[in-house]
Amino acid sequence: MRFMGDRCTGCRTCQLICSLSHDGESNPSLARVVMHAEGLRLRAEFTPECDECARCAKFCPYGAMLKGK
Amino acid sequence: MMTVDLTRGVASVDAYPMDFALDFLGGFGACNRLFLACSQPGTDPLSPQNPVVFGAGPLVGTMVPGSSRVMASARVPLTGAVASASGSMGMGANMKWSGLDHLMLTGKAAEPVLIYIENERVEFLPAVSLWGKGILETTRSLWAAYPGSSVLAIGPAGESGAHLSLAMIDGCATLGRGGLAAVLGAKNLKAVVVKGGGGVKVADPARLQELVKGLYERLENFDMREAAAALGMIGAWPMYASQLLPYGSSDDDLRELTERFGPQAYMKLKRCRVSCPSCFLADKDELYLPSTGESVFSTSFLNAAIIGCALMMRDAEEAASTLALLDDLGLDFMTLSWQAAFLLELHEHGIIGEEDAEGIPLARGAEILRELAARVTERRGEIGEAFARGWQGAFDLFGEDTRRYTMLVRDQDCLYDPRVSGLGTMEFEQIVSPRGPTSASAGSATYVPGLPEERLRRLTARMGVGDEALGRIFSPPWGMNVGRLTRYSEDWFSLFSSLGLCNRYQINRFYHAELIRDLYAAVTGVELEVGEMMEKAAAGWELYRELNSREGLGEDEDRPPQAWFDEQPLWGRGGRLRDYFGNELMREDILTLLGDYYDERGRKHA
Repeated sequence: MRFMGDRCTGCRTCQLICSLSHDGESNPSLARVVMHAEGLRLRAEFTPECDECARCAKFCPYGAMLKGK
Repeated sequence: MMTVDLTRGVASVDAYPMDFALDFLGGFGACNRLFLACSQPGTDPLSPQNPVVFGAGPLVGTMVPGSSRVMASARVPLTGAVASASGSMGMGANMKWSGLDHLMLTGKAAEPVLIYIENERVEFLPAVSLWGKGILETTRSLWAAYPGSSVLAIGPAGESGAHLSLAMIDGCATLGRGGLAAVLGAKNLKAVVVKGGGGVKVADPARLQELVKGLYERLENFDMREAAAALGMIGAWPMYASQLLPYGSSDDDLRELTERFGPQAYMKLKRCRVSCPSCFLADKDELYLPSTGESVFSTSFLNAAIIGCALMMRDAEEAASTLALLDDLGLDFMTLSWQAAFLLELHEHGIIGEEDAEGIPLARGAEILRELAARVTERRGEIGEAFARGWQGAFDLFGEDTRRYTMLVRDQDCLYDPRVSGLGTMEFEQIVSPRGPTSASAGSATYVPGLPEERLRRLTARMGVGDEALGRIFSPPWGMNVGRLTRYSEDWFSLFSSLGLCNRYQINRFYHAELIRDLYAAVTGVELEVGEMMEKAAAGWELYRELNSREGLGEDEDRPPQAWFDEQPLWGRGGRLRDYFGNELMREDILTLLGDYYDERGRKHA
């Protein structure tokens, strides 16, 4: 997965869909993508558990998540 | 629910009554119910006995688009009303991820403090070093100390008890028109920092995912999506420009204002768009100010355009930097702008001269607003002290006669002028809202001007309005009876705010009542009929009304401002009062519509 930081608006939908679809709850701390906050900007880091299901990319409203290297 | 006693520096976490949640859905309605249970009418808003009740509805913290609203109920000093304020950014979601639906603040700390909440645990920390600092600096320093947190902060205006003060969440979402920040300041509370490390359990994750997928498909088909994504609210500039243009302006003036404050001007300052948690159409901004090299947050560039047009500022950068200053001080930019316009009216009518202005420049531009902001925040000079107390303070200083140079309901300035935009629900709501003019009824389709009656009817049906009521609303002689429609627009607001959804038209346009019922069921497991759900929303609004009636702000205060019936310009606006379709209205028409509103609410009206 790739993260395009300049497109991210900080909505964290990526984390919410990830934890909902994998763990059945809306819980950013369970997501396979960790968001590091720098003010209002976020920087994403994918954990080793990420299975590249790409739901985060499908639901990202600003196209900040892309499947592939 | 967490209860924080600032006097004793202790907190407790308890289950809050389940019937409050079931009867009122959560958020707005439950905050009102909690406030009723824990407050006494007539309490001084700035006393330790005035509680502040925050609430995040059942959808907050989930991926339902726009589900980030946090509500705050408290008695506010500007009007003495019980305000149920609505804010956004990360506070509500972090409350929910901390396991909290509500947060109640009571008492008063001996010294300035902040509270840090993480997963049902609270710390009381000294805030003496932050007292006096602007909201932006406070927020940034607390983010540095508590990475990943959400920060609700007050600025110097709240600390000094200015009735025009409001709080900000994460530096770019306002909370509490009418002096909520002064209420928090009186409690010696500089900030509430919340960091949630947990989540929201969802009753039916697959159903929720499917419903949200449907919403994203609707977004895909939205013909304005690209403009809205890139430009936010300023993407609909032609619609707003016609309302922001000073009365009597020409096409050339429109072109000039578009150049100064329109989409192209915004693009020169835009650094990045900022979303609230779960929002799929960002409406906040980080802006770059080239002349100083600063980066500032913005509630919306549209707000900068509003003050820029109202006071004819030089350019977008001047407007954006002035808005950022007011946000940093924690001042209501609308009321302060109208206070500046009021001073200019008094000067233009020969009621005050330069010598009465205590050095405040009596000319359009950013400077009058900046200078007034400093005076009000510091309560400096006669004008600073008087205007900090709101409109009554201004009349105490310049005389009751000067009321005719204002447009007020319940001593709060109108946000919308129906002489300019026509009488839609958000204009009409200003005269019946329990707390005075707000944007509560901006969520109906009358937000968009010029829609034909048939389309309005279709868009009203999506708000859970039954066929019989639709028949009463869309009938002769009005075509659309705004008094009757406003009742349902209020209930729509109550529904959204109780569940935690954003009621801005730009977001709520994607929703309909059946979908909301299904989302509520998917998250909570509670199945309701649409009618039942709307009754609960209506009950939340009625309770809001009752809370204010017991403060003496009942139907007797539901009076349109005289300025609506005067054709002459005021604060740059003017023209004849007209309905949504452009037909002229008289005072008798407003009284008839008021009667229809009460009738639709099932109330008797004297």
